[in-house]
Amino acid sequence: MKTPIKTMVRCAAFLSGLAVLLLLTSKILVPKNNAKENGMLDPSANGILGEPEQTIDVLFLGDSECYSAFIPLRLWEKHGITSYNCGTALQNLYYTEEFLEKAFQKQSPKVVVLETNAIFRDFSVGASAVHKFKQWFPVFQYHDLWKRLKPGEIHLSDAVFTHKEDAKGYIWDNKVAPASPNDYMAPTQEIQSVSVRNYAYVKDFRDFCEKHGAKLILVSTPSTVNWNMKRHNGIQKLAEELELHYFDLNEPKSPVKIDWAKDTRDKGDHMNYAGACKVTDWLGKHLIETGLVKSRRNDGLCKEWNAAAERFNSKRL
Amino acid sequence: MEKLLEILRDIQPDIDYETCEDLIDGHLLDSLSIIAMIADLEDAFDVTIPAVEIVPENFNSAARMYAMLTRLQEED
Amino acid sequence: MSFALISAAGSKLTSCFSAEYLFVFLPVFLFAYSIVPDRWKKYVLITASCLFYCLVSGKLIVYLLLTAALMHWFGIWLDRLQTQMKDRLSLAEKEERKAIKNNFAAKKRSVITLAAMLQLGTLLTLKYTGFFLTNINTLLSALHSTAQFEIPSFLIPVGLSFFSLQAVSYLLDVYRGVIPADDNLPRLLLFLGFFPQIVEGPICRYRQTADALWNPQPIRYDNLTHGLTRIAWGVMKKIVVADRLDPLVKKVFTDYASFDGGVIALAAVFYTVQLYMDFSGAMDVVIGTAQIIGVALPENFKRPFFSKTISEFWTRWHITLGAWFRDYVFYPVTTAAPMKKLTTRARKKLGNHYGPLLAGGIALFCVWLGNGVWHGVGWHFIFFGLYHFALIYSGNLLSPLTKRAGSLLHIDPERIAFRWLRILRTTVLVVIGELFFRANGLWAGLAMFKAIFTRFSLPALNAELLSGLGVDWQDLLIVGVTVGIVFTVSVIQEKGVRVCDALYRKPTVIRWGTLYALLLFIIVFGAYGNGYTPVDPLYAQY
Repeated sequence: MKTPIKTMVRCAAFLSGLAVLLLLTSKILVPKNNAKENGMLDPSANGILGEPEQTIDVLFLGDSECYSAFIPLRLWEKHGITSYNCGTALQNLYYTEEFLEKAFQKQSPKVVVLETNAIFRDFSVGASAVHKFKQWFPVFQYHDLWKRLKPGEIHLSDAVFTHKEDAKGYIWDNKVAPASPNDYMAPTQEIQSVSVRNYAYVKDFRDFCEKHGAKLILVSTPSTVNWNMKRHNGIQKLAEELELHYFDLNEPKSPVKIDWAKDTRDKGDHMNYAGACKVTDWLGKHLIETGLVKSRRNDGLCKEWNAAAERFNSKRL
Repeated sequence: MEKLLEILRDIQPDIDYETCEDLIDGHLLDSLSIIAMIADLEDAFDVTIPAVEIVPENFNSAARMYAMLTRLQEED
Repeated sequence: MSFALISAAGSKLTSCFSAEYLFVFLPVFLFAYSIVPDRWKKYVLITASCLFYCLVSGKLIVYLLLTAALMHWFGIWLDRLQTQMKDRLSLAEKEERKAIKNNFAAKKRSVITLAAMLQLGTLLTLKYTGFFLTNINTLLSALHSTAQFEIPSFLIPVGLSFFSLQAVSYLLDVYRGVIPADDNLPRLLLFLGFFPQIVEGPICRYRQTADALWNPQPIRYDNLTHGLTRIAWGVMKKIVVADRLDPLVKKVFTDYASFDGGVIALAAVFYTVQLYMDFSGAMDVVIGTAQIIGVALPENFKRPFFSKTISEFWTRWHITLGAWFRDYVFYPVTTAAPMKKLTTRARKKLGNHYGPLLAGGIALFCVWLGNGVWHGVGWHFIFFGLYHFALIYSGNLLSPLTKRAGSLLHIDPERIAFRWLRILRTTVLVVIGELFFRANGLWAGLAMFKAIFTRFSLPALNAELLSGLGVDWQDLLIVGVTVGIVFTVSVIQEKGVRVCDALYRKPTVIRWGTLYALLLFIIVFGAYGNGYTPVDPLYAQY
């Protein structure tokens, strides 16, 4: 009969060995670059990994509302602002957190824009724990890469991210499917409150940004499907308590005038290109007027961003 | 016992019943052979073998069958 | 702790393979189980079992509770009749005894009939009403009648088919006097609803598990390690092989008309592999879980693909179901008085071999009809049952002929080559059966079977065909490798070696190396995560 202590030591030793092996496998089975061909998930949002150091001034975070509404290259063309859109489909705040931390490794954005729809997406403790676990041991996320691994490629070298996305994270779509807004922002005193856990996440984002010299602002992009006054009130309350700037572009008095017959690609759920231009133009104007971000046109970046914009425009048309 | 072995040999001649210990578990006797056997055993030993008794423990070897039959005779 | 369990409730606890079960439910349960004093452990087991059932099936837990109550009540009723009979017998004169016995036997028979009808009636009503009414409706419209029945849809509680059989076996055992009635309702509930076993079995007998579950042991280190190893082995079968084959199988069986006969034959083989890996893998997880707390559940598989005949196959595949039908249908039917008479009479006319086959055939037919019906709703399941009936029965009818043919041709049935030939033949027959079992209805099954012979062209399995099937060559490679591993282990087990015990007798380096290899193999080659849809255990639907 073994003593309990000895048993526990054996278990701990076994698990440590397993952890080491998992870390080693994780070194092998991760995308070695950030393009889709390398097996990278969400390559559009992860394109930020390939941007040269200290070149991004504005970071967009959120779900599909986010990647449908903010066009980094239009921000560049109109205002000379460099930005990247890290929106992903159905993004939960734990994934938002991952992108925030990832972006600040090589960049020092001055402004972080969080699209508010993600704040209402609830998830279980389990889901966020699993996500964290996958960040520690990427082999759980990327194990299927064994299929494309050739014998010579089994090595422990670090990944080198060089792939750049021409659209800088924006996902272009110019379909039109009109919405009937039907007074979706009818006034009400009711409040849809943000869950405790999500509230804590937003608070953490704010502190993280403050620590890194960035300003976090909340924006509700126009959506008749996802937004209403109850949600507005919930975010308004959160913004006041956390002392954050909040802009709701759904409000009747909003400076962004959306034509619901033309500016949405799926009956009011998401912006199409025309709608996104309106949202982006308003934001650019706001950022320059308030002096939060300065134009980088006279920077060394000019040539590369112009070229990207040209490629983006030619693909789009 | 000889009577039992005779019946058994009659049903499946090619098994060595005196040594075999896993007639059921070794898949040597299947369920249809067993019902053939039961009718014979009941006649020869003048007992009734209820369904409850038809379990591998009672049929895995000739010795066990014999034990069961003796027990049933006594109970009667 | 309870917080972790409730958050597991938020996500979906669908099976013993879900991450929620393996990484939340099971660890929390084991932790709670190990810290409470021994006399409370059974309550932890009951609570965990009820919680598990609620998480999987929600409100439908009433069925489970009602079944336990029914068992309890009828069991005691039967027991009382038994005691009353004994009291009366002790007072009675010798001449009266027979009458008293008969009187009570009749009473007991009505009680057990009522109980079994309630239990099996619920099962049949919930599972078969839709099927029955659909067929009546078809018949009615064939007769040009406009009258149609509305088809109700019932929510079927998880594991109903499994625990109903356990309940009936308990009552029949009490009725036969094999076990005394249990007046402890929680113990019966635990016997019925023990959490790992409730979804897919094994179908346990009261004598096998009830006491062990009610007197659970502290977790022993060797039980823990052996149990976890077995769980990992089962997870490998399920996640690496079964789930990886699922897209291919689903595709071909749904869209069978557009595939070549060769592909259909291949899909039938793959489905048989999938079903075996899925179901036996689940049993490894279930039995492994029970092993951790020192409870030995009956085995459900004994390397079925080494069977030389179909009849042997069914003593090695889903063993507990076969045993249930054998003990509670086959033998009672054949040993019933009229059947015995039939056998005796038939033997005189037809001889030793063919005589018993008459009564046996009737009983066997009942068994296989029941087996088909138990598996589910649809003519193809009934066909599946009768197909196996036909195979087993004809095997018995022909056995004198084959024996004679064998000795005429001087074939030694124990020769290795001949044995493998028989094993191969049995496997082919099983695969054909599984084709019908999986097909979307009997007509689909027949069409697919026909296509194997009429549309067969041995297509080269090129990459395009593979992508049309939803898998790539790497998938097939890893399936092949894993099946090879399982086969090797099975061969060793066939030689009588207990592989897990043997592994734990090896030096630490080998033992840990093997376990690490197994775990990494699952993690890297498992069909889970991005691009894969989790597949519910296949037998959970029956």
